[in-house]
Amino acid sequence: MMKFKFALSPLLAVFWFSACTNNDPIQARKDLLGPGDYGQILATTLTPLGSDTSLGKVVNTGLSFYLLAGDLDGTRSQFLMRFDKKALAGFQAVSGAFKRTQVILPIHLVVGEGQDYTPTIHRVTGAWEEQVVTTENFNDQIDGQTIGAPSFVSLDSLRKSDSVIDTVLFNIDSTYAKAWIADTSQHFGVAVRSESPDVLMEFFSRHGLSSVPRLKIVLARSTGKDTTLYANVAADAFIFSRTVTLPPERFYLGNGESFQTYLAFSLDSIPEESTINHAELQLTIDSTYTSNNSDGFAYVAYQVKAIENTDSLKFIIDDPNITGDDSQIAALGLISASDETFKVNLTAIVQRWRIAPESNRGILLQSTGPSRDLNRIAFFSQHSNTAQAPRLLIDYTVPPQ
Amino acid sequence: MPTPKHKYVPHFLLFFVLCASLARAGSFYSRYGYGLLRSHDGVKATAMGGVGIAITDSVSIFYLNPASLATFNTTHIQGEFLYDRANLTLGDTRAKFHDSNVNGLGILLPVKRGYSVAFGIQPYSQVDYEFSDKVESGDKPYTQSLLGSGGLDNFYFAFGGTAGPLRLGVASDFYFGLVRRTWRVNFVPANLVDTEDQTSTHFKGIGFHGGLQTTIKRWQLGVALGAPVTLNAETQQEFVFSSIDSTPLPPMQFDARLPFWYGLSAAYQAGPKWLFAAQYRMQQWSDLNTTELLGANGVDSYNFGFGLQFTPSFDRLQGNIGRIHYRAGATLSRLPYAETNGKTVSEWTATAGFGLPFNRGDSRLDFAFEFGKRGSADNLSEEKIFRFSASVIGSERWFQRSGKR
Repeated sequence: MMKFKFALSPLLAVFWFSACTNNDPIQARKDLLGPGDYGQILATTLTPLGSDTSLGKVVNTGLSFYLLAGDLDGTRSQFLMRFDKKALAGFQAVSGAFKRTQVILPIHLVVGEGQDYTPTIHRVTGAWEEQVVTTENFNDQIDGQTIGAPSFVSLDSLRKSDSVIDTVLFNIDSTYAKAWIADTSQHFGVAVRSESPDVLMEFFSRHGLSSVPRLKIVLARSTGKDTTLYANVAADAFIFSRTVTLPPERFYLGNGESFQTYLAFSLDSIPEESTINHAELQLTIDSTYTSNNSDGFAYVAYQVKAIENTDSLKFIIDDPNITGDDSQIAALGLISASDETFKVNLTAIVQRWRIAPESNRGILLQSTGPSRDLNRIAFFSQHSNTAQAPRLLIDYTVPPQ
Repeated sequence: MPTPKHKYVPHFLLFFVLCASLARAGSFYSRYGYGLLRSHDGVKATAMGGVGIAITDSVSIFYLNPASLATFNTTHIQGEFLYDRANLTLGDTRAKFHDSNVNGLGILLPVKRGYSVAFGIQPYSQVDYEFSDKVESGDKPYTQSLLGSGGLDNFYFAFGGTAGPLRLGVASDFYFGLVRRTWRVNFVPANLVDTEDQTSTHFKGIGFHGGLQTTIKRWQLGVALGAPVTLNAETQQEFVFSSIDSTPLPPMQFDARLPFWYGLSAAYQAGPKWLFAAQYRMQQWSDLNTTELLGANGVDSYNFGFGLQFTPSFDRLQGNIGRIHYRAGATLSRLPYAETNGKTVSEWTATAGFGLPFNRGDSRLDFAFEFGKRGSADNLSEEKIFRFSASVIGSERWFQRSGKR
């Protein structure tokens, strides 16, 4: 038995020796192996097989954080504001002579190259609903005469937040305030506009997080002391109209005008079993017809589930807010004001399309926040500029045969 | 207290189970077809240049010619171990790799004098390689690697008997296994997701082989042949996507094949101490198309070997050391696959070894050493190979009544 054990020891020695050694991979260039050993690492550029830009539908802006007034990049804006009628009715119980009536409007931003940005205030003469009103249904119910003169307050005196860059005080004729208090049903609010070219003023709306607009009335009491009354804004919205004609050979995204763009690409040139290593949609921005403020333009790319072709193309996508299923969202991102190219990472969705080609019905690009801003992104189409047309750049690998 | 008869068996089994955890090997040529084919005839034959079709010694279980089973009188358990090392030259690249693994387990049971059955399991082929290619140029540098693993195994059930001066044997072979190939691409830029494509092919199929042996004076002659085997193969491709969940494609089924083979061998017993043998074996891999051979181009393989054995003494009084069998031989063979440039690949080895009898000479420890070269400067890869193999053969009297009480 002892001899047997001795005989086994060389085997065990080899066993342990080999167990302590590592094998490194063989460094082998592709040309040293056969053509089918390594797979293929490839790249391709695809141009759209199908595309569509919907004409911008003017949307209601009643939930916007900001109120826009001015004329910039081919869009003229003004805003409507109505004060709290219950507060106004309550002012009837307060006696005193009207000493001063002011509309206080904190400014968030002034953009554009214009030098003068003097706003004007007007009386609204007809009824409107905050979450319905648009340029198309408002019918321009504004009295052309101004009802007050603006003044800009020292920044430090009224600043409540760093985001407030200035405040406009409209000293308005007290006659209007008296009429509103006497009969609140005749209070349709005020409209603020700016005729200055190439300037857009962005005021805080009643939904503003830093500051809100208000109506301020100062009454002189018989006691010699003044009483100050405030009325908050009960409804506001900005309305706008485009003053330029947009060329149809462009693709557009917009929020105030809800432009959306549809693009579809054929992946037939890519083998079915490929791995998509990177897929990027590249769109070249046409700055001539683009209006993008410093906050940037937030976009979402949806995977289109179906297309209905009646009078116009209708793109069906899942609503992630209702279903809680965001699988139809292909990408989210932000286009900065300084961007010259708009890039969307579509790696995951292109991989899905390659696995299930029947699901490839294209993508729909939209704004993530329609009615919250007034941005428009224009980019070249294959019809306007072939060299700068939308393209899908794909890096992919094909497995060994 | 008497020592149990089967006291060695647990040791053998434990040893080979431990060895099994080390499966790892490599060869440039194992990426073709079913991989590198293993030798099948045990350590004794390996040490003698692979000759085993004509010889029989009532200790070693020779797989290729089941006619050799007819000479056994006791139950035998045989376990084999293989250590394989290769120094590879591929272009301007040099690499070393090695493998240590179980190379077969077998059990033989004598039915009656002149008749035995045997069964066992052994590797038929082995796929094990890993290539890597690092590309640093361009704006998307990457490293790609190709890994292969797996191989075919073979479970056999054999019967050997005697008919006059002839010994005859037949065996049924059940082939099964998995060949897996994985291609990975790891990109350096973080915005590119990596690739991992895996192709797994499962095989199973049944074949038969058999042979004859006879002894004419000092000559032992043997012939063996194996029928072509059709393997049911199923290939499954799976792609591991980093961006979304991976989805395996539907499996693809096809017929793979192992071709007909035959072998001829002769051995000459020059007195009690010397044994000389030569063997030629050929397999018709060129009959297979590329689909049946997993994309490889088959060429007819051959294996020519010769060897000798010297035994100083058979006298038990000389002890186990005095009765050691000394063996030597050489082989020349051609691999069953043509390279991508159409060239065939040859392999030669010089072999040596010894057998250490124990347990009254019915059991034995066999060792074999092989040194040789696979491929040449004309081929894509030249591999200097060294193999060490060992087997433990235990003989026990199972299921037999003792003559005494």
